[in-house]
Amino acid sequence: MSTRSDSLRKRLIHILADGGLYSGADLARRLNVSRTAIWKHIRHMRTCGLVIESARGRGYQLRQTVGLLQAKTIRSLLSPAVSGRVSSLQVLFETTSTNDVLSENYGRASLHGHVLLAEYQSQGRGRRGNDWISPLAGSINMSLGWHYDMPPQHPGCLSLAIAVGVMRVFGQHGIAGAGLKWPNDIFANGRKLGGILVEMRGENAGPVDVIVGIGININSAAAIRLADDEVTDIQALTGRPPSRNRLAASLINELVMMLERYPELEIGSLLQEWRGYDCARGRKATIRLPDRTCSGQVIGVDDHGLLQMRIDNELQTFTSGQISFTVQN
Amino acid sequence: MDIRKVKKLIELLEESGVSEIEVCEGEESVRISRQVHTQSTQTHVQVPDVGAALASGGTNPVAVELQSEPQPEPGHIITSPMVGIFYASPAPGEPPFVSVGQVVNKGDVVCVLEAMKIMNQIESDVTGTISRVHVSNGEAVEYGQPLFTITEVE
Repeated sequence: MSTRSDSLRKRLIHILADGGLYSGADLARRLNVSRTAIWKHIRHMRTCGLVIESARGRGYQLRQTVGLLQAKTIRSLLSPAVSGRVSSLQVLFETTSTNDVLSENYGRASLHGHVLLAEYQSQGRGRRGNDWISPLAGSINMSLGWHYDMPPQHPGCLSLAIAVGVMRVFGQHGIAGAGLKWPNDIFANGRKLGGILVEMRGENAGPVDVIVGIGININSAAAIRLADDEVTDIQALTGRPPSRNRLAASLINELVMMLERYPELEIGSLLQEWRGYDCARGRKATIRLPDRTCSGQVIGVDDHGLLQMRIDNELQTFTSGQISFTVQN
Repeated sequence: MDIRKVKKLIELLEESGVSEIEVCEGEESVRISRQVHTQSTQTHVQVPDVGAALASGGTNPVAVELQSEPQPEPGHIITSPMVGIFYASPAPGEPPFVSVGQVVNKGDVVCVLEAMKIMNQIESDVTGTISRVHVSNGEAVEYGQPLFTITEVE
């Protein structure tokens, strides 16, 4: 849903995007609205996490230059093979959660190949109701819909496969220093850089719909506070933010092919690649389960993609649970 | 046929979850069938040749209706397609997807199973009434473990 306010805010960002200082009167004239309206839109975008500085009597200025996501640009950067497999590609300015909207917009089996991005999510979700905070125009929030007539043989490892796909894209863009925390959290220097939430829906052994949700912090870490983790962003790793449009296109190129090939994928080599990105192996960590919390040492992932930890001198295997690193010397 | 034998057969039927059995002994035969209703189990006993067995009188054939405990309840069982954690609700603090006595349609989500951070929304493959929830929220489940029993709508 793109409202009149969304389009005005987009135009406002376009003007401010060069990092210049613009007076309220100047912006009001350019957009043909009142100065009060400008001030209200600026205030709203600030609550969405966009850092807009204001100097009394002088005007407004973006702290960081911002390039907005453009569906047309992203589409033009897709490989021909992927472009043919993407049924629709849409960028929303402001939405609740791209996973939710994708699932609401498309019924059973019809979400296949649809890609949805958003500049801002008011109800971004992580695992089990955890919030996913994504400041306006400072991250990539994307959901891909896929349908399998038969459930893939190792459905759980899809979670790891998507994470491997994201790491490959980072490699293509020269983004170094990131790694994975089981099963698919993206970390760099012990701080959270991104997350993946895969949702599946289907009957036992029947057709299955998959929604892959991805959130990556681009230059927004300063605006994010998480209860469990410190936060980082791509800009902190590379010194400057990448083109979000290019990064989004590369992610779609990689992940669409990953989803397409997943049922035939050789799980052993996928897990081997995943292990190469493991940034938790050997570390002291705490795993939180619904009924208990255990502390121990991360051993790695087993041949089924499950987490192995040494707890009280005993090797234990976990199918789920949330790991957090223990800050210890 | 001995009334005790009939009684035994009824018990057998209740334990097994089978909906109908027929036993022939010489020229006598007994067919016991039961129809499952939403909440209670009704057992119809039809004895074609009563003879001395049912001395209580009555017409021939005699239909006896017995009310029995709803457990163990026959019905369709939804089993876990994977090893993971069972969640009864979409998110912590929210009401469960389904509870006992609730009618579900084929395709309705009945629970979420989490494994390796994949949130798997499990759909009911039948239409009927939830008669039992076998696991509790946050419990670890194994492959093939019963999650729900659903009494199917005929």
